[in-house]
Amino acid sequence: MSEHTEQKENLLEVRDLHVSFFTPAGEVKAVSGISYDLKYDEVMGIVGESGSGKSQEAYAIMGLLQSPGKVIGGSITFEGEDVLSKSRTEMTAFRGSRAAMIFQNPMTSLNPVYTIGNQLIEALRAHDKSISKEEAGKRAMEMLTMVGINNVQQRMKQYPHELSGGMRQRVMIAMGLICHPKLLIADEPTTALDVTIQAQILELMKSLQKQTHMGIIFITHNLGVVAEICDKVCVMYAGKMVEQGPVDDIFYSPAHPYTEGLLRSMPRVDADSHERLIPIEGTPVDMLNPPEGCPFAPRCPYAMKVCLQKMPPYVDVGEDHRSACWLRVQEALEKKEGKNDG
Amino acid sequence: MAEKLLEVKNLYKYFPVKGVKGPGVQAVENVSLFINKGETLGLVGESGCGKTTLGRTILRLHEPTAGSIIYDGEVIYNHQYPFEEKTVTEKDKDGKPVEKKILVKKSVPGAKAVNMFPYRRKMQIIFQDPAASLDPRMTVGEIIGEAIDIHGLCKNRHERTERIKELLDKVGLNTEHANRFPHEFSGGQQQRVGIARALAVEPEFIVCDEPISALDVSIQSQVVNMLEDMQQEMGLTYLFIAHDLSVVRHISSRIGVMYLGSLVELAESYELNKNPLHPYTKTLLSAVPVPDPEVSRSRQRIVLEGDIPSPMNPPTGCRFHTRCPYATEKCAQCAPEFKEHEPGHWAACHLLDE
Repeated sequence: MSEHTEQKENLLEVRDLHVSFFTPAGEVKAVSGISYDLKYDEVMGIVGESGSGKSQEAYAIMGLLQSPGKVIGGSITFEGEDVLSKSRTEMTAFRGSRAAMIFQNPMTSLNPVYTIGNQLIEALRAHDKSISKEEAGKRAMEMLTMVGINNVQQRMKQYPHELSGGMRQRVMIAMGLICHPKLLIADEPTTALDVTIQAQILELMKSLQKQTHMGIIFITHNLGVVAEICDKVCVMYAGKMVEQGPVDDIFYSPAHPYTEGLLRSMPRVDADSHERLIPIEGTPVDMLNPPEGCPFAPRCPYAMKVCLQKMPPYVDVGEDHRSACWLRVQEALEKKEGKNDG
Repeated sequence: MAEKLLEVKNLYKYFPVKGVKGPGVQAVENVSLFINKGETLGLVGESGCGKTTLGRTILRLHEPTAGSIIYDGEVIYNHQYPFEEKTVTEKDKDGKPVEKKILVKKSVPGAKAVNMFPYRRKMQIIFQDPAASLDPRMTVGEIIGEAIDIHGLCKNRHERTERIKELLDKVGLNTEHANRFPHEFSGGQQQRVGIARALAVEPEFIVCDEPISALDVSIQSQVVNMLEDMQQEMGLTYLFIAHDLSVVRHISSRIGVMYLGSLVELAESYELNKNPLHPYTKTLLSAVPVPDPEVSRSRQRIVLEGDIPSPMNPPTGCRFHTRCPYATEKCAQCAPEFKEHEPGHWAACHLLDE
């Protein structure tokens, strides 16, 4: 990372973001109170189970929340601009050119009746009308070569169904990057792919990130993938951010029982002996009737009385490492008292 | 020496395709393996490599094309390979004649196939998608009870209700859950119902077909632990099919690796991880993400070029040669033999013969 980029302010600042879905059965707080910063050139992972709100949080940044979902509080600042106050047309210009998103299933996000070339050219010309079709075609082919597709001339004329899953995801990445966005949100981009293809895509994303210096938000439930690609991690549970920190801190000194539980419950391919897995007991939270207090408390082995009553505040447990857990609050208080006594 | 519960010899499963000459989709190609009593044999491979088809063919949910299946010393299926290789000359795009090998059907004696009904009690299956494998119109009690009724395992209503309760209890569900419908359960609970249904007939052998891939991470380990407990308690034998190598590595005593319908390597789980022989196994192991930032930063990864070829038109010779970084001319010409290179460690690769 050069000094130049370090001096710059944050690429993305999310503060106390709240997203709710107003369903006939009641309000579902999909995201409640998420805050983080993303620097230029940084890869952040958002980890959580299905239904933890990790995708909705990303949709909010892109202005893609589906009705009845709504942002009901907080702010999103992108390069100093308020994203939430942008009008529809401003959002359309913003999406694709400055922030792009790639999705889990490339088949459903590519248009089946247009050729790959057509779709890439359209993406480019939608944001820059002055560019000629020939020029756009040339840029599209450059982009496809960059994401490791060969036989580009022929690929441009093919339809999505003629490509394999891994190839389609490459096309999606090419389409996301064609306008040189500063931010790329990748929503489970490798979940639908096989391990060997997943390895290809991860390697590709790592090298593209080095070339383009964009910020990436990588949403996944796979901790292995996070360890592979991310600089920092945000762990979500039931719409709340339970822990956030640099990747090494999260993996080697987790400060929240949920993170700890996730890490412990995963079998490892490089394990030396057969150890019994230690699962997280219980079932995921019913988002229509979330428990009071800390959402993880009913499944937490260390739960105390206070956990069931009040949501813990965020406590700094290390450099850039924050956690929302009453255990850490207690520790912090004890430390403070110790200092005062001394 | 451990006793073999199930043995499969040269098993083939082809799915004919309408309007296409030849054998169609070659989903399982010449697979031989055995499973000992009380052990777990893991089966890994990428999607479309035929691991699920192999599991189902072993249970004869798909009728095999050829090969033999021996369960507990009794042959439950035996059939000769009904195809032969023929060389034909075809004209390519430029009109030049090219020699091409194709498979042509030949007549063979009929298959020996026993009635599976008594074996259905001994061999069961747990499916990948718990929601799709449970009848939405039946209560959980009816789903589990149906299996009991078919095999006439309970004498009266009372005994049947008790048995259903016992099974629900065993898989960690409440006895009141018997009156609920599948949609009222979470994915993890649905999978528990699927497991209770399989256990209802007191089987000896269970094919677990990706039983945890559809579940949340925090629930996966609960189900894995439960399957291990059941095995201990009831002396079950598993064929555990999954694409996630770390889970298979955890639960299995031995692991088989499949690529495009063929078994390329089979070894003890620890041995396979420490000393993989086949190039494909090496790639697969290096591709699995490890939840440890330092390890993933330091390790060398083998990244394969390209995608899996179509099983409709598999490559000649070794099926992996189109993507193998070490492929030689020989690999393209003839298929390597699946043989024991070290005690208990089988692999199919020409490089190992030299």
